[in-house]
Amino acid sequence: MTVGLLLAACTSSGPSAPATPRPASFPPGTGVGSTPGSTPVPVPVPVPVTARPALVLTADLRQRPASWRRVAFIPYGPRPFELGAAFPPVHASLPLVPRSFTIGPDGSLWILDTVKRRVAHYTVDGRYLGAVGGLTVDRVDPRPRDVAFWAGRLVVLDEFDLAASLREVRNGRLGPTVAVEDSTGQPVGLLYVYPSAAGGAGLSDGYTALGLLGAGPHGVGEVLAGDPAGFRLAPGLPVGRATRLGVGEYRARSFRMTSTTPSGRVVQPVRLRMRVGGSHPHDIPAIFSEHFEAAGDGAGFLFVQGSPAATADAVEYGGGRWFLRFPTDGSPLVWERLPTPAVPDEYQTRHLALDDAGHVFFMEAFRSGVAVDERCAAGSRC
Amino acid sequence: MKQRLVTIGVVGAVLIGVAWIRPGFASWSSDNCHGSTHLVSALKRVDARDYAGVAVHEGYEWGGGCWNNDDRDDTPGAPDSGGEGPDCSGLVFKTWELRLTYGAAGFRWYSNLMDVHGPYAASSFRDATPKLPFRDLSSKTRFATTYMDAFASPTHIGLIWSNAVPSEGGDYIVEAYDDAEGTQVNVEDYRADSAFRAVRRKAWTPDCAPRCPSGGLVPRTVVVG
Repeated sequence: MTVGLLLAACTSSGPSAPATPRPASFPPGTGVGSTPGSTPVPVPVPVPVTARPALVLTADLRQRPASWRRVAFIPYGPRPFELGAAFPPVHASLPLVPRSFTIGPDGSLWILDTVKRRVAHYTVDGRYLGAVGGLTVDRVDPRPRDVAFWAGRLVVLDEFDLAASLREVRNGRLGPTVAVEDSTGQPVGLLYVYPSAAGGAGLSDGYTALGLLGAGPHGVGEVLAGDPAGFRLAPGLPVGRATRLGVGEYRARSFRMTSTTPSGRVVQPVRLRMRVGGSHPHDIPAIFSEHFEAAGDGAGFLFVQGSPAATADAVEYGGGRWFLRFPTDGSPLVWERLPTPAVPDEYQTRHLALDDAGHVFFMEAFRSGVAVDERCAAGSRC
Repeated sequence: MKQRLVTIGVVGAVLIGVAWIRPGFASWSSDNCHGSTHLVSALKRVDARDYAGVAVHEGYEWGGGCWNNDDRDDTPGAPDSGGEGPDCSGLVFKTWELRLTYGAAGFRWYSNLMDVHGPYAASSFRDATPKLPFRDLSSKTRFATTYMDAFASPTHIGLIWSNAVPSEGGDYIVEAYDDAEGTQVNVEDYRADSAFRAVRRKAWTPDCAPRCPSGGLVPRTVVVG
């Protein structure tokens, strides 16, 4: 009985067609990613760099989450239209919930349903349309991490031993597994794949050999066609006709947004601070992680998670998650709190996705299913 | 009436006994796990990481603590059946060379093939009390932690694999996660998740020992008499 209780404590706790075409992101190509050599290698030329004063964003632990419009709720269950999930105490230490999602060029919803080893397809309001099966989720094969549409083709990002590989959906079936390497032939890890109208794009986490962790290309780049697929760093993700946005220089309480245009580069340091509002407002030391999850419509979209650095503060105040819309076109910056998850969702890779019309969606796991919410546009009633 | 009750009781006991004594109780762990253990005097982080590295790719078993080193799934599709691998707290228990007596100080090495989980759950690590052989670090900053420290929540625990920082923050964590994916090194944001606290095993021997630079934190051994 004692053992049972101890173990339990370890493992249980308890739309339609796009309104506006997405600007071309990377050189057109075929297969997974864009074609290497399809564009001439640019000659590096000095570009003027504008460094802006730091932007300070306050993560107020007393702030209420913003309202998002619920567009779909898909329950867990054994039937085809239901999603898979697994909750402790058996089979896992943390809940296994759908890991990622993306919005197709036609506005439909694709959810990476890891537990059922498939990508499930729904209308944006949650009506089941079908699924692409055949994913592997075991100890000896690459496991799915993210999904995105590249030039109209659905691509699944897998990982194994941290190293990335890709599988493209062809005729409703998953194609062969293609590894991803940089120009030196070292396997790289990808944390995300991003929708792209032309080629492929992803966020590299560098080399994955355990002795080389921390080395290699870090940041957003092009995924180049081939087997293995190549990876090449880029100035950022396309957010407009000629603007790319990148995130870097990550620290526990700061990072840098860099927007690059043909005329120059603008570097915007961002500092994060955690505050406990109310009658006696005060700042507390905190740790943040920021996730560059989507780009387009003139902005980048980040999912930011934060926790007090001190245990006593974490116990008293807990932590939170925030949504950042970082504009490059003069439109409003948005910094608002997101709901605290109803179940631990560490297994979930992606929380935000963007459709071709610029609508932002948030996927949230609950005990009984998964909700997809759309961010209320400015001035609308939700 | 009394005789009928006795009869029912006997029949019931026989039925329960028949149901209990089933053939085929052997499991992967009972067939394969026959490891050894011995007390040791010290533990370095570098050795602990080597030990945890053997468990990588070797699976997950709820309540388990035994694995070989063949990098393959020896109990595919058989959760909660005495299969291969540790669970989250079992991996930390063996990697940190904790002792089986709850709260005992000191170090005990267990071979990877010894099926032992230890007395600590993830919550025991997270809510460490002063008398335990590990402690809450109070701070989760990168200045406060180093590799082979742990992040523990009420339901999960993982060890920092490397001091390298992933692209968007977080950490490389070695963890026993689930039956399908087993034990592996993942990128996780436990540092920025308020459910997790940083926990450190007490009494590490510095990796540089016995030739640490002067002024190091290595206690000198004094021989008396």
